[in-house]
Amino acid sequence: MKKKGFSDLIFKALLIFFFSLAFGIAYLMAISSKLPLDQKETPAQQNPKYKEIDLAKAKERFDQGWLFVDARSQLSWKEAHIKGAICFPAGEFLQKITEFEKNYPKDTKMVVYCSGVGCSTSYFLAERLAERGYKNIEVFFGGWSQWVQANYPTEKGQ
Amino acid sequence: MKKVNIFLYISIFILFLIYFSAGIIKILTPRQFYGAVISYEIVKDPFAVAIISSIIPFLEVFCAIFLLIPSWRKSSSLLLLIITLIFLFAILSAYLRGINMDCGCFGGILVGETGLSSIIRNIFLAILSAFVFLKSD
Repeated sequence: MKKKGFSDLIFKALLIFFFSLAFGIAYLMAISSKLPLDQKETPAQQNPKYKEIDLAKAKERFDQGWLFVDARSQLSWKEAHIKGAICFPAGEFLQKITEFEKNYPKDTKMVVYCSGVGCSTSYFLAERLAERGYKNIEVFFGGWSQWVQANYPTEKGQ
Repeated sequence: MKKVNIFLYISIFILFLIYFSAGIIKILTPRQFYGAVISYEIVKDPFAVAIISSIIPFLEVFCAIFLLIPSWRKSSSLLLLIITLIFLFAILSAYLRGINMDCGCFGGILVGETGLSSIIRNIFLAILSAFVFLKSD
């Protein structure tokens, strides 16, 4: 009897799992164009608070002297980051924002980035900076991985 | 006559509410959830991340729905316990590696950072799932 109950439990659990699997795969086929599966840029998101930019535009901003904001962890920033980028881990927003606001006025032109294509922390940080009144924010969609691949200037953190 | 376990029904209600809404939000904001999963840096292949981030929301929604059916409750609570422990492992590992980010727990609508609050929330949900699993027939 107990054995029957156990097989019934596993059978039903597997049924729910495969049901979810089937729906998940069908859903993925429907939305795959919205995901950056090819590791290339996707069309700009229609977010009025910030723009999405590609590698070429990010390099242009770098040459123009825009502030680069690294949304990754402090550990990753210390290992290496885009030359001149400041460390602003997205998850430490509340701890860091007061000092950030003291140092950078609301009209500061900045590019926010994180680890690579599809990572969410740069969007998260850009959104929250925009909420604090920063108007000139751009998100470098390709992030750290594309910058390194292109052999553009980097430096280690202290 | 069977005694009604009020705590069991409260637990089912809480689990249903949390997992059903979390799943629906993730389904509605696929790119944000994909971004959250890839930011954990546990699975790095984009296709594997896409598959995981597509299945998890449906698993949450179906488990939540099947919790409401008494004969399926034990199986769905077992699955919920397993996925909550997987979430807990992922959040804990991100926290220990110093990755501070939106945990992706509620897709792209609500923000839940991978801090202690997420860890405590997932421990609480794991306990609730285990309770429902043990108390269900």
